[in-house]
Amino acid sequence: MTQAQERRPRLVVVGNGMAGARTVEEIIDRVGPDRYDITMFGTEPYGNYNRILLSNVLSGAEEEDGIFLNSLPWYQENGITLRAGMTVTRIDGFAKAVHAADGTATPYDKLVIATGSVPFVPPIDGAHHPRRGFHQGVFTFRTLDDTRAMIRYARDHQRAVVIGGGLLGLEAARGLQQYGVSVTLLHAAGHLMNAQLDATGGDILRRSVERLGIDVVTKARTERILGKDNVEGVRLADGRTFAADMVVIAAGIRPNTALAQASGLPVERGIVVDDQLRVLDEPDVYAVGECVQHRGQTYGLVAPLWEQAKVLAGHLTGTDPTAAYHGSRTATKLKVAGVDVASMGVTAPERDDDEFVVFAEPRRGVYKSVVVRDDRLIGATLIGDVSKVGFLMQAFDRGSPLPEERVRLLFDLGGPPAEVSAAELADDAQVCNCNGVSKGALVATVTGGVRTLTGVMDATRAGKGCGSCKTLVAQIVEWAAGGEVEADPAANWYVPGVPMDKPTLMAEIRARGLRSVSAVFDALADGQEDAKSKMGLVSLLRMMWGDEYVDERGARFINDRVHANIQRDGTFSVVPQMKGGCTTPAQLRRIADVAEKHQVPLVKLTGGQRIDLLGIRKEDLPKVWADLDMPSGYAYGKSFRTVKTCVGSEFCRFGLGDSTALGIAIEERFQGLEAPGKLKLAVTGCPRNCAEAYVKDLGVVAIEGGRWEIYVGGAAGAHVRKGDLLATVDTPAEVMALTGRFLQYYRENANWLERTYAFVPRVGIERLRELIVEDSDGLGPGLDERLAASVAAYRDPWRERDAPVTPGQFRTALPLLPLPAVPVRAGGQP
Amino acid sequence: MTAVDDGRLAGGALVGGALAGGALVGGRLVERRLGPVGEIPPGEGRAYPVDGLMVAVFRLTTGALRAVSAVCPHAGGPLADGLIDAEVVICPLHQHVFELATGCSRSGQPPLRTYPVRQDPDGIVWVSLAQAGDDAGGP
Repeated sequence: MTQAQERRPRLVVVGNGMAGARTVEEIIDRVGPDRYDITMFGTEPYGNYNRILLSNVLSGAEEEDGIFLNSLPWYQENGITLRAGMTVTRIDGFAKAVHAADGTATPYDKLVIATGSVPFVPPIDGAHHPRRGFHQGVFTFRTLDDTRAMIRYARDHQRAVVIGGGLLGLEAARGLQQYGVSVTLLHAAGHLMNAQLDATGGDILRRSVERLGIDVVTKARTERILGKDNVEGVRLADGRTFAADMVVIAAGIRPNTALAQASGLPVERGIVVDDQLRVLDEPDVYAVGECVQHRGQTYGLVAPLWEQAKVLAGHLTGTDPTAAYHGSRTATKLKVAGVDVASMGVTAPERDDDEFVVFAEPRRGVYKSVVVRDDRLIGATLIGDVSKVGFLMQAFDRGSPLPEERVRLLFDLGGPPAEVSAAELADDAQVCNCNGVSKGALVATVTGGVRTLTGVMDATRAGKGCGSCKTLVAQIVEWAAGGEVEADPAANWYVPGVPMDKPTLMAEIRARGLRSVSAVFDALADGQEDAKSKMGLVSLLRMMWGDEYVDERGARFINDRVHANIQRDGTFSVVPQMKGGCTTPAQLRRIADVAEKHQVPLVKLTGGQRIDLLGIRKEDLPKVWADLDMPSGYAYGKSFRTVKTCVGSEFCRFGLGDSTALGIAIEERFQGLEAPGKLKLAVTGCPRNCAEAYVKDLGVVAIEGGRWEIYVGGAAGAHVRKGDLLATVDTPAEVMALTGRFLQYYRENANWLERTYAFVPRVGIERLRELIVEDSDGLGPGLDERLAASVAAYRDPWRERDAPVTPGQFRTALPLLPLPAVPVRAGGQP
Repeated sequence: MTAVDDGRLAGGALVGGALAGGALVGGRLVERRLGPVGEIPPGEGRAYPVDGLMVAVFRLTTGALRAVSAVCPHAGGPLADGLIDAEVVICPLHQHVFELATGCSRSGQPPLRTYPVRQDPDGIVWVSLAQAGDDAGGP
């Protein structure tokens, strides 16, 4: 050793498994390979591999090569001395050296013990052969060598017994089946995976496992392995015997503390460490991973190891001297023998007032349960269908608010689609629970230029642990890289081109007095225009500034440039305002005349109770508007559109309130208001709901006693959701007031393109009631005032027919095609 | 697509000044007068029929001009009606994204054609394209 090298502190790591190697990686990531002179001892003669994936190797789903995390060259490149296949026998804390099986002593300045776990082998007669360790045909399932040995043996044997119905046992049983071995699984407890599942869940998992052809026997305490030279079977304590020529003992793991114990270090269930992973009373000795006992807890899952490795590396390198490990809330999501299982926290209620929501469908192998205490999720179990696991893990981790209807914890009931929930996942939400990769990290990698799933997985390690999050990672990568206008590279940004969430953006716009889209780009995005951001910014600026907004026509979407809805052939649809769906003979006559005069190819009634003239050429729009001489119905904007009504009390014999008049009044006041998403409203005169008010962004229902119910957040599009009851009020005036406040609160607080059906559940109906009905935060007067300003700034955009706002505003963009390109449908024809 | 080499049309063969006066260049390209630049509001595009082709001309907020084929290769959307920034145009129908300088799609569609375009000292917009006859028609 040279003088220079001797000056570097020596770091010795005992254990070359996932925790030890990860700690070294984290150290090198922080300070490079030269801070420490690193020596690693590993009992196994290999580089470092992903132990979790051994079950994939066993089942043949993965090659051995694919599970290595760090190959031998990695150790060389980083100047690490790897003593693979070398067992450390003793730590000499006084001389600060470790003694290995070959008699060598290796001095250290800092020592990390990462000896992991050993398989737990219950006392079973005949498991061990007096001379050669395990009996021929008896295996544990912990290492690559174990796995290889099992595969070799399984190839020419027929019947296997697996002892242990936990995760490892199930994986072993499933894996062995691949070699044509018939498998019986013996489990001492009353149901499978009893550490993670309650009895019902365990039974449902059992049915799924049995469907795979694995025989399951519970309450089976194995007493003896039968057979003298070769395994012939096992006998249970109750006398039952099972024939087998191979036995796998997968009854759990125990922290591997033999070395620490032999060296006089404090050991209880594991090696006792403090929040810096320092072994009690040993200033230079640390322990990390499954061998550790921290605050009375030991961990057998990978995520806590990663957290520990980070803390230890921050501490050892001095890059984060305050780093502390506070323990982990363990949540697991696994594929167990081909069945999806997720579990976190407690499995059953513990107190009288704990809420316990359970759904079981044994025939399909689906089981879901959640335990809620004081409005916080304290436990959840999912089997067979883990679609809600992302949301539940987030709620479990952070104690975030839960939906009032608890069943929504288990199912998506007409909520936003899965894509939206991926998009709405918070930036710091952990996607890969094995490697601790957040959505933000994935998005940052994609926006940093990595556009392939594998590239992102390589760069972040996401999906490289157990692999169960790959689908979600793929969805997020796809979403972050998508070319769609609605795709948003950073979840919290209001628009993709300005790196700010909506409140921050609004504050900046107000503080700097930014009144145009280009002013926003100049001030807040380094002058970088972004086409995908323009539409959202126009909406926001118009909402904020009303009359003072400085219009830049090019920033508008084509629909808002020409106040009509572009159709697939480049023509437009024209929908005149028809308040509350009420019209007159004179209006109908005029519409008919216009349709004839301009040879409108299709005249159609809309779902919003208006009349749509389709197939209008862009250049004809001003003439059509002039001939109609009716205001715009806004059937093209992210804005207030229409109020659907029923006949109401004047004519309908069931009508309880004058829904028609109220609908007209609402439309008159709020017409054309721009919003983050389109707004479809309805007023219906009785709970028969003819105007479909329960499934509108805002729906008003007249009820007996002259009162009115206001529902918000409904939808009847691709996603169907019944609105939440915001309030029940006595007068139409109150309906108007609360409608105004809700609309304005939505306009100011919803994300761009976030419809009310997503916004209302996100904020929570109870919170909305506080804010809007009870005015708990005193927002009311401000909301009213700003809304009034927007209402006052309303101009019918179809007045632009008299003088185009820009040159060529209505010039066609596709003059050479014969338009319309859609078929002309005569009235009444199918 | 046609037999004309798009790369040559879009790329380095044409150098700004060489096209002054609308002269034929090398017998393969011809420059056409589109109209006053004032017809195209800054930040917007307008479509022009040229020799049986449709060309969308965009005026960036910097004042620079870009010209591409006017019809979206995905479903025939009118690109001149699309939102733009300094780099891309977004088709108004299905939000496919195309680079204005190269015509390349950023959303997996076939590329657009690009055309050299300039504004003369009198504020007239000119676009260069293959001589009629060389080009069999629009995309």
